[in-house]
Amino acid sequence: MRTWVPQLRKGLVELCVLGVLRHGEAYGYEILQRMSAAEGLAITESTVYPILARLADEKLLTLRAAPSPSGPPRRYYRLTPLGLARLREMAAYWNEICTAVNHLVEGEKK
Amino acid sequence: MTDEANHAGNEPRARIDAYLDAIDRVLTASGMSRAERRNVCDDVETQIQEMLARRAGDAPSVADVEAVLAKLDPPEAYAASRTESGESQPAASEVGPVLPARFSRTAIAGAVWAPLFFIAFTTIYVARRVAVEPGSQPPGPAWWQYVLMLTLLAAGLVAPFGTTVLGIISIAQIRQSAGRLYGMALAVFDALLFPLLALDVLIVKRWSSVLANGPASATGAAGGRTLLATCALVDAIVILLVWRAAARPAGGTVAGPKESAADQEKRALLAKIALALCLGGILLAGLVAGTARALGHDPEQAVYVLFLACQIAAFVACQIAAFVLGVMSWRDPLGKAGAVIAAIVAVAALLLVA
Repeated sequence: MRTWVPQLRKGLVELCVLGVLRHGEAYGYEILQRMSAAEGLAITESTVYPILARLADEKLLTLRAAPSPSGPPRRYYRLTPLGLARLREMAAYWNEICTAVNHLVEGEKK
Repeated sequence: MTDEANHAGNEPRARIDAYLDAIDRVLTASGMSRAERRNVCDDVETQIQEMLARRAGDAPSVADVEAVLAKLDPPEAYAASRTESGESQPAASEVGPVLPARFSRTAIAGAVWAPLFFIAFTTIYVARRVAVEPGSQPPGPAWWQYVLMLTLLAAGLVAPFGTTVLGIISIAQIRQSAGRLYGMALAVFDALLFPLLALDVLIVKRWSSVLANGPASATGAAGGRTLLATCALVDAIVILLVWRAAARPAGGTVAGPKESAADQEKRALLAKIALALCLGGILLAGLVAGTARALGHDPEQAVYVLFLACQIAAFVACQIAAFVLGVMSWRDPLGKAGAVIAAIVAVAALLLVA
C-alpha cells in the first residue's frame, strides 16, 4: 500500500463510524460491513472495533446488548448527544477541507 | 457424551479463544484500557460467530473456524490500527506479548534472594574461636569478611522484606500480564515464605507458653506434634486463600489465556486421583487402627510393628499427595473435596496420636 494512504485515512475512520451511526444504532459487525461497502476506504475490523471501544469510552457512544440469533449477544452502539455534536463538528471540518483541497487540485489543473 | 466428543466440541471454541487472547495481548501492549479491550474482543467474537453461523450453522468444525479466522486481520494488526487511528505507538518492547509467554523474572529474583537470609542468619550464629596472645589486640575481620558483611550479610538481613515485596510485585505482574507471564506458584511462595515463618514463630511461642502451664502430659513429643499440626494447618489455609485470590485473573474474561480442553481434562484427572488417594488413606487409617489393636494383644511381635509403620507411612503419604493434588485441581469439586478431606483427616490423625 502507498505510504500516504494510511496517513490520509488517519482520522477519517472516526468520522465514518460516527456517520454510520447518524441514523440509528448498529452493532459492531454491522458497522464494519457498512463501512467496508464504501469503495476505497478498505477498512477492516482491526481498525473499526478499537475505535468503537474508544468512542464508547469517551462517552460519544452508548452500548446496548441484545440477543443474537447466532452466538453471543450483539452489542448495539448509538450516538450520544456528545457524539452527535462531535460528528457535526467533524463533518463541518471535513467539508471545509474538501472544499479547500478541491480548490487546490482544480487550481493545479488549470 | 464421550470424552472424545467433548474434546472435539471444545476444539473450535479453543481456537476462537486463542485468537481473542492474542488480540487482547496486543491491545494490552498498546496501552488500551481493560474495558476497551473487552469491548473490542466482544465485537470480534460476535463477528466470528456470525461468520461461522453463515458458513456452518450451529455446529462449526475446526476447519470452519480456521477458515473464518483466516479471513480476519491477524492479531498484530490491532497494534498497527491503534497507531493509524491516532493512538500511541507501542514501544518495540511492548509488542513482546505476541511472543511466547515467559517465567516471571521478579519471582525468580525473589526466590534467589530468600536463601541469603538463611545464610546470613547462620553466619551470625557461627562464631570462630581465635587465639589471642596476652597483651595483644584480637585480629579484626579480613578484607573479604568486610566485603561479605557489606554485601551478602546486608542482602541476607533485608531478604525477608525484599523477597516478600518481590513476591507481591510478581503476583500483580502475572495477574496483569494477560498470560504473558507465568510462575504464580513461585510468586506466591516468595510472598508468603517469610510472613508464614513469622506466623509460625508466633504460634510456637504462644503454644509453648500455654503448654508450659498445662498438664505434664501435654508437653514433650505429643505437644510438639500438636504444635506442628497447628502450624501446618494454619499455613495451608493461608496458602490456599492467597493462591485462590492470586490465581484469579485481574482482567475479566479476556484478560488471561483461557483454559484449554486438555488442561481441563488434566485437572479432572488430578481431582479424581486426589479423592481416590484421600479415601485410600482413610482405609489405611482403619488398617492402622486394627493393627494397633492387634499389637495391644501381642506387642512382642516385630513383624506387626513393621507392618504398622508401613501402614502409617502409606497413610501419611496418601494424605499429603491427596492434599497437594487437590489444591492443584482446586477448581474441580472433586479436587476441592480431596484437599479438604485430606487436610481434616491428617490433622485429626495427628491430634489422635498426640
